[in-house]
Amino acid sequence: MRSSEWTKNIFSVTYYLLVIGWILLLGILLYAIFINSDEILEVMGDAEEFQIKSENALYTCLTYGLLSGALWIYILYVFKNLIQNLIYGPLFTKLQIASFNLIGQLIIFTSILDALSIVIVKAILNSRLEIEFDLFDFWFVIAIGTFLIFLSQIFNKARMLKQENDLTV
Amino acid sequence: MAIIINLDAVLDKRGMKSNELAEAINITTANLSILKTGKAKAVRFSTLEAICKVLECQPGDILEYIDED
Repeated sequence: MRSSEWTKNIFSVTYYLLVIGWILLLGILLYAIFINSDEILEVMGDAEEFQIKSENALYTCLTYGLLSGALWIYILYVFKNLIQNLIYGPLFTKLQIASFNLIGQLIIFTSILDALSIVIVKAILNSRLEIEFDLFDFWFVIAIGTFLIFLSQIFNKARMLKQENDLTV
Repeated sequence: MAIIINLDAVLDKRGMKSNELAEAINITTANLSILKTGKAKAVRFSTLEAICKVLECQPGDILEYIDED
């Protein structure tokens, strides 16, 4: 199998796993709201990152998890379509440039939002303000986002060169 | 664009059709149409040479610069 096929399959599997995870998270939220929140609180109360002890905190965290998850799912969806387009379609199209740009911006936006939410949630839930998230991971993801935006600019230049080449008689 | 292609006028003078020229210089009619309509971004010297050879003219007869300012 070609490396491009591998990349496409890896992105597809990750996308569907994320969708399944998101549906499970939604199920947990609905279960906590309508059936029994105590069982979920017991599990979350022992969690390493956040020790959630009230219902409101549980709903807030799960809702945020759903929103953030939806954004990552959308990013992967655009990425999956972009890779398919790169493999099977013509190169350097406007759609590919826009997709790279959008994915880059969304990754930066979501990473900053996630980092901020961790700080805010910790400050509110644990009444303490400290940054414990891995700064290397944060900057690495931001770097990927900026690289994708840079890649979209390269694709834009390549599109202009291709157009110029196509219109050379 | 400031560069005008006068290929149609030269073709009329020679009594030649576009598809005949395209065949003679070995380019597609679509590419010749791009050149004639002024959509082309560049012209290869080899194409220009072939056009001049077939139409027995100078590059200046085909290309004209017009100051748009």
